[in-house]
Amino acid sequence: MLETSAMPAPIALVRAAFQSLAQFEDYLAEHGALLKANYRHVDAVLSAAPEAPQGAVQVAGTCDLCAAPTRFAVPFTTSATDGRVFRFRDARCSGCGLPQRKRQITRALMDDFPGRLPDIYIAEQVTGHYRFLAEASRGWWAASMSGPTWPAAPR
Amino acid sequence: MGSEYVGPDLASGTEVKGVHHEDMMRLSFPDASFDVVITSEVLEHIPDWRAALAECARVLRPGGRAYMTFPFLRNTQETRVRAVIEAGAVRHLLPPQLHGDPVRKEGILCFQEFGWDVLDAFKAAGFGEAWAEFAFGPTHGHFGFTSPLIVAIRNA
Repeated sequence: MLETSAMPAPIALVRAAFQSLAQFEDYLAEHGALLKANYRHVDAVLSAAPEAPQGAVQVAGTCDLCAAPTRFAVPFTTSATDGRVFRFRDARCSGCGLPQRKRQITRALMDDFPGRLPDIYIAEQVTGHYRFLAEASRGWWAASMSGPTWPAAPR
Repeated sequence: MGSEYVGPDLASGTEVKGVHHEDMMRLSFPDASFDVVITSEVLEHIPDWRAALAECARVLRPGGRAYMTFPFLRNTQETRVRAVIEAGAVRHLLPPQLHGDPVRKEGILCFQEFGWDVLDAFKAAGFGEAWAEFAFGPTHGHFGFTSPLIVAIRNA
């Protein structure tokens, strides 16, 4: 596995919401260059990924949920038809074990329900994300969180 | 509350070896049971996904939120249908695409990949607002505008 050699300087997490394709395209036209510039350290790692049918590269960073330095494993596949394809949505934190899409859901929960843990139905049960939220509902996670909006005590 | 889809012959709400079975098209929960519904890589596997959205709206309290991820064609307006159910059998419109599944080793069929028109479907299902939210923060493990989180708020 390849990995970044040093922890990059933190870049603020951007949450950007769009209600249409046109809004999304306008945003990228305006901010695309800045986003690309902030992506350079990742690009450098990904471009050096080995010529293998599949694998993962390790990218250093900080996990919002763990509130700690970590490494994100970005899986990739290589094929003659598609070339190398990185599955960013499955980039997994070595700390909490959650892929990007589930970390994004959990981060949104933290931001959208400050001060209380909502009643949640999640359409999965034999997964790390379910266990993660179940642990959160029992309160231990709150004590380990440094985020400002997550409940300080279980409901 | 969590659940898995265990099999087609079970009624929603059935427990199988400690696993709670739910069919997203026919949830067992009463109306307005939850503040939040979360599905991650589920909706693309449901043939009648609009019925599933309506069920999610039904079990949410007014003002409750749905958080969903699924394959999303970020540069495409219209949802791409890959397979449909006709007369009880699967008819493939595009080459079959199987995704990994924690309870089925053989994988699970992807019936559709969504375009931006899915936001209109949320509204038709009983959600007042719906949007696609992208996270970008490479040092936080969010590497690009590759796939959004869909957030929808149940009508009050």
